[in-house]
Amino acid sequence: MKSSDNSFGCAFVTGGGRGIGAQISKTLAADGWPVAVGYRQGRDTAEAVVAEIEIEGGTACAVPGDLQDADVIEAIFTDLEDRFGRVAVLVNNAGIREDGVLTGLSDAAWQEVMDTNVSAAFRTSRRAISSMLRARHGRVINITSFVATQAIAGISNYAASKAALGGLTRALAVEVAHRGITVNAIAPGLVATDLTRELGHFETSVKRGVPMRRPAELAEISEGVRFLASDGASYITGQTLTIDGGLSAQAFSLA
Amino acid sequence: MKDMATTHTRDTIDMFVRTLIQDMGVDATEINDDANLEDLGLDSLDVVELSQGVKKQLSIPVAPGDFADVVTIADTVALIMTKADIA
Repeated sequence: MKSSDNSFGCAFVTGGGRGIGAQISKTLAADGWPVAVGYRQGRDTAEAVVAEIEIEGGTACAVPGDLQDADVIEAIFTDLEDRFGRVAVLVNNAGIREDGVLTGLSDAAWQEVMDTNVSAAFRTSRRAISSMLRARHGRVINITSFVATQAIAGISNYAASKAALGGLTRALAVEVAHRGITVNAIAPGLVATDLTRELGHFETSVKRGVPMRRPAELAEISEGVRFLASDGASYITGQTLTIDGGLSAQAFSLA
Repeated sequence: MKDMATTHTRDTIDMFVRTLIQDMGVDATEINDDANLEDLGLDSLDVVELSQGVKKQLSIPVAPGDFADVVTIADTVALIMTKADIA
């Protein structure tokens, strides 16, 4: 149960309409946070998440916008501040993949992944921090990935973007720590979502690479976000919490 | 809530800046025109907060980057006046 007084503040989850983001939205709402479910094109799925949250007695709204545009971000935050007082928790979850071996990657495949996965998080964080400063409280939680530090083939753009997001997490954390704002990352392992289902031989990968021999359930990832957003995590900052069923601890399977 | 006044004077801006800086924990007796912001203990994050306060509460279009060359309280007020289009 959330321990903070959130009568003054909401959580904004980018890419909150599906996959891990949708679960994060629902988990934070269940913990008492009003949740702004951000989306770019998936209006129906975002509104479905809002509906589910409201049926359970929570508060949520669907927030459209292209996070490549600083003016759009300004408008989103101003609107959320008018409605909820301030954005107390920012979850930079929006992420895309455009796979291919590096030698075959187009400029567009590189740039779009970097823009969506890193640059958007930079812009939203810049805007969020400026009002968290006044409150002397805030939570920024960036969703990275185990591939930020442990590679598989065919995802150099995605891996680079997640490693960059990890670096941004640490750098921002040390800048704002003395204002009571924590900045952390969650690095999921293999999770069964739209993104990972397209991975060839997903099940084989899981059995071979994950000591728990199963992918994560969405709620097992969102629990980490719930904790980092709570008062209980007030002394944790600049950290990456890896939620991967033991994947990153294992050199290779003996099975 | 937001101050929607469209007319600002040097005095109202000056008063606003001094109040905001006091809220940041600076002793009122140390706040004068020539006071150096850094000497008062204000860092770059405080400047961001100041900028945000001016924008939201006075509706004057400032950004943190505008304050890059600001050194004293007088500089701060002058910069805001420029952004508010006051001679």
